[in-house]
Amino acid sequence: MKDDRAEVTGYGAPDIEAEMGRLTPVPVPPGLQLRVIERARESQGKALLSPGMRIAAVICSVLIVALLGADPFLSRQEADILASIAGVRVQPGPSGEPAAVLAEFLGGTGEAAEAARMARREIIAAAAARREQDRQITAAWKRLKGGPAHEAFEEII
Amino acid sequence: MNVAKLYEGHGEQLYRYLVFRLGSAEDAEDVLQECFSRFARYDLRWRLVLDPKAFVFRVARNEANRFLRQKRGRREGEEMILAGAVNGFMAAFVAPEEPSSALLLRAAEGLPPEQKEAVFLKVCDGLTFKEIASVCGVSANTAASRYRYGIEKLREAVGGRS
Repeated sequence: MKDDRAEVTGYGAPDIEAEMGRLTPVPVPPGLQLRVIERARESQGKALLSPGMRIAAVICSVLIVALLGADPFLSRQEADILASIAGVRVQPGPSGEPAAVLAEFLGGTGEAAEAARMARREIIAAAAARREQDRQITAAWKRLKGGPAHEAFEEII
Repeated sequence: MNVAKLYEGHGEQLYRYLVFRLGSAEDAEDVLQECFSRFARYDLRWRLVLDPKAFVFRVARNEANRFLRQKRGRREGEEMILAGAVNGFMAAFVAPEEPSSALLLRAAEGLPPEQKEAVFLKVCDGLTFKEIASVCGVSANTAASRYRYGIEKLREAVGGRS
């Protein structure tokens, strides 16, 4: 029967191993140990981050990744909270959910809401036009040489 | 990480392995220094290492491959690594005077690169098949069969006379 354990852990080949054991390995150059250790210590000293800072950097990276991963869930919760504050019903749906919540928050959906929004826009546009007219009148007054503020009433007449 | 202690444990074995991998004592010394510089910077990683012996040999192997790619250019270096062109028992051992040992060394030199490496790591560095597997990035069974085939070829080569 095949001995699987022998195959994986290996009992070696004593005859060949003994033969190879008689071979002389190349000698290690003198002073190699000192040179290697010295350079390793130099490199350790020049390391960009100390071990403590490395641990801190790893922890921060993990936290950043966790926050980025949790962001969609947190924002969904925030949308739910906003919707509950505004007292509106959140439309279910994976993609249109935030838009639906926003629409409800701004005045609901449907034809009536649309008409109300149009009316609001017209009022805002009219107010903007009035403000522009006032500004032009004021500018025209300022352009007049010797405006009424600096002249006596008799001189104007 | 105590670098001096690590060198005491594995330094000379790694040096010989690197001479075997690179075929040159000067290159082996350069790569060994780079390896130990890495070990010194691996404070955090050492805590996760389960088998330090396999780990240091794996780092040395990667470092030797990186050195070959830098020295010979990416394409040629890669070809040399795959072909095992610089793997050499001849470089790692002093030429023996005894004819039987010389025959064995020549036979070992003629093995395919992956078998040569498995035999070297097992016989000369005393790594287990599991450790050889971690070093070479293969399964333990593959490492064992590479070793077995290599040994069979060596036995055939020297067996003719015994």
